[in-house]
Amino acid sequence: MTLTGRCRVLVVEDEFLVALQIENDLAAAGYTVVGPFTSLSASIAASRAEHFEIATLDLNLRGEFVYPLIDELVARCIPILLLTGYADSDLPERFRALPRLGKPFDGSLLVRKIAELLPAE
Amino acid sequence: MGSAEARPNSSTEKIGAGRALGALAVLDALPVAVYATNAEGIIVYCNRAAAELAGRQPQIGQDRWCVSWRLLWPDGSPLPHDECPMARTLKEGRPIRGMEVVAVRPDESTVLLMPHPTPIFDESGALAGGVNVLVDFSGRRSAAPTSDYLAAVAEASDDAIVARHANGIITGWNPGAERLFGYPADEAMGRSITILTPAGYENEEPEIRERSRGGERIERYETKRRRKDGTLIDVALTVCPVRDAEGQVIGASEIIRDITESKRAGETLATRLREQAALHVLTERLQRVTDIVAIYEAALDAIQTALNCSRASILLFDAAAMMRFVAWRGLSERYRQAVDGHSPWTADARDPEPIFVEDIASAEISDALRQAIVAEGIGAVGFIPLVAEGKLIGKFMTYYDAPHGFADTEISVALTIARQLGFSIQRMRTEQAKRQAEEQLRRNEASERARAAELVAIMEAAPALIWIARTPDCRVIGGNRCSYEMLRLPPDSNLSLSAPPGERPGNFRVFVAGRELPPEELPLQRAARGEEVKNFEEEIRFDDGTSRYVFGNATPLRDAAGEVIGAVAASVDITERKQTEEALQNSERRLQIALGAGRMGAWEWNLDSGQVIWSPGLEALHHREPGTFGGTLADFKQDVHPEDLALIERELASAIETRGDYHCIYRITTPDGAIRWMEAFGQFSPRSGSSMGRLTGVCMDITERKEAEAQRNMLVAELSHRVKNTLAIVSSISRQTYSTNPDAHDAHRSFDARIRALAQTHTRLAEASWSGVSLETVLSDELAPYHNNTKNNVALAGPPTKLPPKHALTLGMAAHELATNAAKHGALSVKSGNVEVGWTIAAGDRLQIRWSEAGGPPVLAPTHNGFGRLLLERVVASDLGGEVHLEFAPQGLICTIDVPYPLETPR
Repeated sequence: MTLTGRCRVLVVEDEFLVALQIENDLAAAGYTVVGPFTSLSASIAASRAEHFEIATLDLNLRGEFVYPLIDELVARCIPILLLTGYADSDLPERFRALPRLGKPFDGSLLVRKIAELLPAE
Repeated sequence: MGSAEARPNSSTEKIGAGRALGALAVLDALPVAVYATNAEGIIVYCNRAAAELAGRQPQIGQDRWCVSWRLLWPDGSPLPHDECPMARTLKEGRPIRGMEVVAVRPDESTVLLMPHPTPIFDESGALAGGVNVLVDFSGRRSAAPTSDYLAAVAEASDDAIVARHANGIITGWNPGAERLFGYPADEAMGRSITILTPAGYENEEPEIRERSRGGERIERYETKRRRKDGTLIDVALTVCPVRDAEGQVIGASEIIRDITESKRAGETLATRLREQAALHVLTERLQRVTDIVAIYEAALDAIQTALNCSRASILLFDAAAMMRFVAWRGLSERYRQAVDGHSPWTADARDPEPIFVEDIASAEISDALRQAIVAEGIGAVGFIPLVAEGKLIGKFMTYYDAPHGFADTEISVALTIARQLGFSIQRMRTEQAKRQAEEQLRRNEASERARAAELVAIMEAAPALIWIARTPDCRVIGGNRCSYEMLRLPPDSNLSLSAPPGERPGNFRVFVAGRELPPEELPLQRAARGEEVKNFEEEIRFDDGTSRYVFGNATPLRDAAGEVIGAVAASVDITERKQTEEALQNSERRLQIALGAGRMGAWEWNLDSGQVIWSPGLEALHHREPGTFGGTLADFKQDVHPEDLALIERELASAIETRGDYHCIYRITTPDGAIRWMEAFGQFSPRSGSSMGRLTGVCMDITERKEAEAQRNMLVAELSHRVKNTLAIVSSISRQTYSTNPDAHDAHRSFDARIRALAQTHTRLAEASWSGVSLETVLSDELAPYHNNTKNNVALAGPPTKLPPKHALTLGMAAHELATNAAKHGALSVKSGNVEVGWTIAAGDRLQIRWSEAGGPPVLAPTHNGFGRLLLERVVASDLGGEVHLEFAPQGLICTIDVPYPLETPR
């Protein structure tokens, strides 16, 4: 787990209980969780300040969409996993191709997705 | 000079002043018998001497030829009055001299007279009458012996007096006979009287001889005798038998009078009479004629009669100044054609003289013409010009079969006929022209009347309203049938609103644009003041409230001088059209209302001209000022959101290509920068000919709908999100509950309770349509299972609140954990314990809640942080950004929660 232990995951999720579960699942899989962040501004600030290899993003943060953050991360070529209850059609077109996991999700599926998205070492 | 004053003064003056009276007085006083007759021989005057000589006073105006009672020849034979010298003078138109007659008076006494009858001609040469002077020879005869007297008479007589023996031998030859026949007495004496008989008269002499032998007297036997030089002379023979003493006829005396002159004169007179009669008849006929042909006929008759020619013709200049035959007698078609157009004068000849060709053979004319004339058997010809009003108008021709000498009298008569004919033709032409003019006028009048009648009929029948005012004051206005019917008035009533009361129609009033027109402003009345009133439109409002609308023109009526004398107005009833227009306007207005109400606009794009028309509503949708749309597609595109331009162009191109319907949803940017969603529908008008046609349609602002749709989509997404989020939460709660609680049964109860608490808050939110619930409701729900009214173990106090869903759910979960904890371990776990929850809203945006327990078992600080505490502290902090403080005071747990409180949280 040393390999993954070094791997840091930015978690943006405004629902504490959901974030708690993500945190638990990722921690159990050996990842280090950066966050979770519950607001867009806090998330963006953290994304610029913190070091991380991958991000899991909730779309709706108390009414604010994380789109600006997504654009920024895409620009930085940081892998993104969207965690959302929204359907495909609710997303702006440009984000529909992003990897996505629907809520509620299975913890093991989350971990496997994260692993897939990380570049092979 | 007054004759009455002048007469007594001087004899010369008397004669000069009273010539007529003087002449009569002189005649009356003359010692010579004088009487006068008119042309018919009726005695018109007789002087005293004549009456004495006649031994009677003749009946003036009745007696004829002679004043005498009876007349005898000198030999005693009766002489009828109508053969007396005066009668002969009047009949022959010449004086008679040298005749003796015996007048027998009423007293049977006789007187030998030598009458001297002399004709009187008037200025024109016509016989006016005669005057006779009677010389009484009675005294002279009785003064000398009869034989001497007779011998003297024989010697002195102008007449030839020849004595002949019974066998015809000449025995006496007076100087008169010698003068008349050219034979001296010695040459004639002893020869037979037949030396005087011309050839062809040979059987006269035996008869004369025979009759003389019988004692018969031959009176004035007119015959011809031959002179010595062979020439023939006309003579009148009077043969008296000569008897011897025993009464035996032994010979005869012949008195031979040369009557050549008198015969010629007689012939001349006959000619004159014929001429005069012909002229008279011509004059009479010309007075009566009514047509030009009759004039020609009368003229030809007169020419033939008076000029004694067998053929005649009349020619007149035609319009081309060519002389053409208009009437003729005895001329062949061939001849007329041959000489047609020939004229010795041109049409502009002045005072042309007649031309007489006495012998065609020697006339200086062309051979062709001569040939034609000769071929027609004409020997002599006369051209007599016809002149009217100084201008030559034609000629008439006289034709004679043989060469003919034209006497002056003939020429004079011809000219007289020409004058009459010319004048008559002119008169007829004038009359004809006048008749034609009159006829034309009559026809014009008739056609004018017909036209007027036609116009009246047209006017009456016209399906237009016609009003006529014949005076400028318009106090009387008439109209056609249509007018009366429309105005619901009896025909011929006065239509004028300016008419005197009683005459004025009262069943209608006239309005323009809702304003009642006073009479003087009515179009007809304005026109009657000289104004041209074009395209007036007025409403005629009737008593019953109905209206008719009329449209028309009014124009002044002017007299020949241009003065306005009235006016006429013609208009049509446009009520039905007006109603249609109004209906259309109404429907357009309804459409506008509909468009306005539906936030819709209408548009039309003419593909041929490129013009785009917008309804005012469409301009309003584009937030443009009215009338500022530029009318082009480009101007429209300016408003279109740049991202949607391509879409619109694609849709338009597709519609044009397929001529199918156009439908497009696009955004526009309004001048104030707002973005509005528009939806447009269009359809092509049917194509006609080469026209590209028009695309017409409507456009509506669907921004609200679009927003509502977005809202709905968002809501659906939101709901889905929330549900899934909630499930994620439930999943998390489940994991946490079961993973932290080793007692599965207990864990199940806890999970169950937490889910029910969550569901409870959801229910509350759903009841309020997710608009929010009060803190009191959330707390009551969580504390309800432990609340004992009789013990009053729960107290809630605070201002009214309205928690947004997230607040409600999170605070609900916190309240659930606090209540569960109190019931398990705290104040609500014992009968005496109670819980008080109070809250305040601080600084307007912080909700501060204080949960305090009392009366419960002694409080122990928890040995480990269970899920309940995690939930309580971390969830509130994380989800609401708030702070939670737990104080494990000995008298009971105190929990303070401080969270942001959005006063007006948007949904």
